[in-house]
Amino acid sequence: MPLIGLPEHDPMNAAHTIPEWQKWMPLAVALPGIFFAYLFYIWRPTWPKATADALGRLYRLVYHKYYFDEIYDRVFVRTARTLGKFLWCSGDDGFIDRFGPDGFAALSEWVAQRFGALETGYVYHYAFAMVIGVAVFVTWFWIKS
Amino acid sequence: MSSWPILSIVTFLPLLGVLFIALFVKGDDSRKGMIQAAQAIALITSLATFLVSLLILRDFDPSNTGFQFVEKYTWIPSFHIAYIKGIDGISVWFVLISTFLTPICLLSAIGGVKKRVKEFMIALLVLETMMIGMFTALDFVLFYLFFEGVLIPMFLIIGIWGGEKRTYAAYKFFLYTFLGSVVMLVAIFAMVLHVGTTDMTAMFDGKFSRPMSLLLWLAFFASFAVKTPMWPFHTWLPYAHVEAPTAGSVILAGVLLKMGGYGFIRISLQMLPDASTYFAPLMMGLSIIAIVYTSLVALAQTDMKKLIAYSSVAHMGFVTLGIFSFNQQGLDGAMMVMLSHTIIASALFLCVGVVYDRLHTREIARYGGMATNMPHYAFVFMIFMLGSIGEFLSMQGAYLANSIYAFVAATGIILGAAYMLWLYRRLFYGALEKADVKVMLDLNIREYIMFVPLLALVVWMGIYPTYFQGIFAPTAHKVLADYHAALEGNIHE
Repeated sequence: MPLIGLPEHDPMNAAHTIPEWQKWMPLAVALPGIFFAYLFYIWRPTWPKATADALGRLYRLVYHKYYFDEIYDRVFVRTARTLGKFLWCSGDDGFIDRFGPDGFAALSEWVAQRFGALETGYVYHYAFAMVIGVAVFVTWFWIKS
Repeated sequence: MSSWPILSIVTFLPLLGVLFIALFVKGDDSRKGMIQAAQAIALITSLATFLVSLLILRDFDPSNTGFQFVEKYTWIPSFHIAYIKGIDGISVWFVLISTFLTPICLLSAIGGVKKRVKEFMIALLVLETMMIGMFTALDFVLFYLFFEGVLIPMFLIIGIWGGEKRTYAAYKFFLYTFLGSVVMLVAIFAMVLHVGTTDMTAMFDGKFSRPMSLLLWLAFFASFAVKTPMWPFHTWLPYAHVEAPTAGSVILAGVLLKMGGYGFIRISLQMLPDASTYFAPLMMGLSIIAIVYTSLVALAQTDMKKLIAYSSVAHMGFVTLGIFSFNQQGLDGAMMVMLSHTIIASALFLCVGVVYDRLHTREIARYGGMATNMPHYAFVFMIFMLGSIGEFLSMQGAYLANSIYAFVAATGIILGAAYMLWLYRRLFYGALEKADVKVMLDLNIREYIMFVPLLALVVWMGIYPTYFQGIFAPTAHKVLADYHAALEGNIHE
């Protein structure tokens, strides 16, 4: 309840002018509560369990706060965490890194290995490459001219 | 005071410390005296630099929206390259945060770095020079030199003093950021050849044709998007943060990421306004993807540093969202997020360092219940953890620009609260069961000294942000006014 509010709002005064029965309502609700608490836990301590067993599902529903926390956990919390894990493992590591920096690194390594394979160290391989090169050049100039 | 070349003094003062350490501190890590001497020289130099930088703040006139403390010397006249320095409302805070964070990093390194101490101190001081140099440079060549120069000490800090996967992290950091910067270098050459000078102030307010400005914008984007980092160029950051020593992470989060945001304002917005407008939907789109995507990824993390690293990407998403809203709330918000993130992310990395120094693990699951045996640490962590939730100004700016973007970005704030509070619960609440966590001691004197200035600053920033805003807001107003004027000029043409 705001102590300082807009001039047209006067909650303090309004609280005094409610109907008489409304003022008695809290007490009227509290007294049976006290009575039942006394009945269940002091006079007849075996009754709570018997009542819970008799009510079954209804009791469990109320006991678990209509399963609100569980629903919230399933729908929002677990979904967000699963999605987060997916984006981290499949998005960052599996896609961005795989095709981005790591992909480029792997590609340069692959290209280097392929070119490296040409370097066999055998003289006749190099001589053969030179012959092919000369043949290609001669053919090229012959076609051009 | 103004007759002194104060910006050059602040930039190069750390190098004096480097010189002292290199010349007078002899021996290796086996000599305790050598270690202490190197640490003392580094700390004194960085504190002196901070004190001198306070003079800049004292003499800085916020109502003057131009560049102040300008120094101009001929450097390489045949290439029209000059040594030009100056600061305005946008850059002054970045200089201050660089000088403020370095002594704190050195204090953390005194406890955390055990090998090659002398070299570490040198690397951190060189890094300080590079950072200040970059924020004060008004010549494009100078700007580029310092911008790239930052990479070298940071590469060494991660690669030498980092964790298990330090080599992979260091190379990834270096190559990622370097690739972007090389493209930027080409753009700088193009701009310099077009304008005929390397003076950055000569390039403001849209001097380039539309096709050229679009290409230039993309080239700078390649560099700043990696540095900021924006999604999907962010994957180097979690590795760099996780593997870097605490001091490295603090500087990385506190200053290096801000170089991207600063670049977007100084170069993209001020020099290429037309292209910035053209690419604004791309920037806004990538920003909100970054905010939501990395916040979700942060939720799934099991490593403390990685969680804070991902949260940094989300925070920087709010920065770019604010900048490319092109309104006062957005730009002010972007600046405020950058400043607050500097303090908070740095402090959070220091907080991780505190327990890492004791237990040598960053796995969240290895801790728990620390509020019982480390109540002061729990309190400090709580302040910074709470501080990292919420970015109101830049959200307001984004809302004015596009309410749907703002709505999507707002989910990032909810997710931010979720992963931060959840991290806090896992670290500090629950039963104190693990034997090695039980015996951990609360903060020591060195750690108190490290956290008190950060706490003071974060509380000050939270309660009275007007002071911080008052320094940059007039310049930010002018940047936006120039931006709108340049656009109108283009339309009239």
